[in-house]
Amino acid sequence: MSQRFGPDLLRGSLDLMVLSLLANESTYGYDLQQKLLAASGQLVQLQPGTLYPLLHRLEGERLIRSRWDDSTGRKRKWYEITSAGRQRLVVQTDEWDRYVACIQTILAPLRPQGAIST
Amino acid sequence: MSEPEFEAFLERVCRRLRLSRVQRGAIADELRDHLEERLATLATRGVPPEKAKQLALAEFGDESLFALHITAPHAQQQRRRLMRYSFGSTLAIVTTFVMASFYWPAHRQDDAHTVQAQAGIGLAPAVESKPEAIDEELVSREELTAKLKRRTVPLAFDAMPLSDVVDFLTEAHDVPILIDRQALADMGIETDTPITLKVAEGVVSLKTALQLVLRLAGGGNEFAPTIRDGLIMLTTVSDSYEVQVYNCRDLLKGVQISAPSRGGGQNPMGGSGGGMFQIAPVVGQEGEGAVGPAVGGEELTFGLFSGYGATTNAGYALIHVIQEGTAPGPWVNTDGDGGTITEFNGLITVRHSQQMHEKISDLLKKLRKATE
Repeated sequence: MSQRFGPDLLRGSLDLMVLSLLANESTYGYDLQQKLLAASGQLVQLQPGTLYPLLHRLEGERLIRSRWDDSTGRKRKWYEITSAGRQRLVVQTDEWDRYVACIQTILAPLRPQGAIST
Repeated sequence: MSEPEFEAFLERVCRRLRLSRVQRGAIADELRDHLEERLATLATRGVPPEKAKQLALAEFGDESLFALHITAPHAQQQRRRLMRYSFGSTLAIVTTFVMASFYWPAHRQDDAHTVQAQAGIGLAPAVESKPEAIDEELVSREELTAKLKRRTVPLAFDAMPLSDVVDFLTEAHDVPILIDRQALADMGIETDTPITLKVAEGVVSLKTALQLVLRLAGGGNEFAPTIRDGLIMLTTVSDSYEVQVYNCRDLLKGVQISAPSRGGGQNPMGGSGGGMFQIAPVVGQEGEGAVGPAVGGEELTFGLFSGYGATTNAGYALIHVIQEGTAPGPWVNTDGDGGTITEFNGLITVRHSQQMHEKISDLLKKLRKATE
C-alpha cells in the first residue's frame, strides 16, 4: 500500500475503487493493480496481500464474478462486475459524495479564507 | 512451470489455507499468474531476475497473514451457506409443527379464538388469554410492517436478476425477504429475470419497491409482498389470503335505516342524509334472494342476502361500503373470483390478501374517525 494516504483512510474506500475500475471493463488481478495505480496518479498501490483477499470477498458477496481463461497458455482468472456490484457502486458513490461534502463542511473553518475546495 | 521460488511460496501458502483442494488449487493458479506477470514487468524494467523474484514475493507480505486473509471470505461464504441451510431447515420444522398443531384435534376448537385474537376483537374472559406464540408473531408482524413502510435506499438496477434484486433489498433493509419460487415458476417467471429500475432514495417505500420489482418481473398485480412466519414472502396474492374478523358493532349500532329520498340515486350512502347509512327498508322477504342495490330503480332494496353474506341491512350496507372503498377487489360476490366477505352479528369476516386487509383496516379507521 502506498504511504501517500494513510491505510485507515483507504480502508473504507477500496471496495469503491475496485468496483469502479471493474465497472469499466473486466480484468485480472495484476492488471487491476496496475490500473488502480495509474488511475490514482501512482498514489494508490494495492499490494497483492490486500488485493486478492478483497477480490475474493467481493466475489463472495456476489458483487463481482470470475471466469478462467487459459488462451494465453497460462491460467488466468478474470473478474467482472455483477449487476449487484453496479448497484452497490451507485449506492457507495452516493454515500461517498455525501461523506466528502460532510467532511468539507466540517473542515471549512480550518481552511484559509479564499481557499477553494473541490 | 513457473519459478521454483514461486512454487515453493505457493505450496507454503496453500498448506495454510483451510479450504478444499479445488479452492487451494484455484488460488495457487491465480497467484502464480500474478507472480509471473510481476516478474515479467520487473524484467522489462531491468531488474535482475533474482532480485525481481524476491520483490514479487515480498509484495505478498507475511505468508501466514496472507493465508489467513484470503481464507476469511471463503470461510464466511461457507458459514452463510450453512446458515441458509439451517434457516431453511428451521423454517420447514416450524411450518410442519404449526401445520400439525393446526390440524391436531385438541387444538381445533381454539381456531376461532385465534382468528379473533389476531383481529383484536374483544373476547370473553375465558378465552382472552392468548397463546404466547401469537404475541410473538404479532410483534414480528408489526416490525415487518414498519420495515415495509420505510423509504428505500436508492435503487439503480440495470438488468439485475430478480433474485439478486431481492438479495440486495434484503441486505439494504435488513429484512428477510423470501421469493416463493414455485409460485413464480407457475407463472413462468424465472428468478433470474432481469430487472431494470431506477428510483432515487426515499421516493417510494420498500413495499412499493417490491411491488414495482414484481411487476417488472412479469407478475403484474398477481404478486405481492406478504408477511408470513416472520418473513416477507413474495408470493401470489391468492396464496397470501388469510381470514380476519373485524368487530364493527360500534359502526352498525347507530345506523339509521330509512327510506331514501326519491330520486336519491343508487348509492346506499346517499339518500336523505344525516345518518351514516341511509338505507331503504327491506322490501324483499327473507330468503327471496332479493338483490340490492337496485340499479336504476327509485328505491334501494335490500333483504337477507345470502349471496352477499350479510344478516342485516346495515351489515350489507357496510359490506358494500367496504367493497367500494377498497376497490378493486376482487371479490367472489361481485367479480366471481377473489376474496369473501360476510357479516354476522356485527362481525365482518373477510378472507382476502394482506393488502386488502390493510385497506379495510384503514377504511374502518376513517369511518370511525368520521363518526367521532
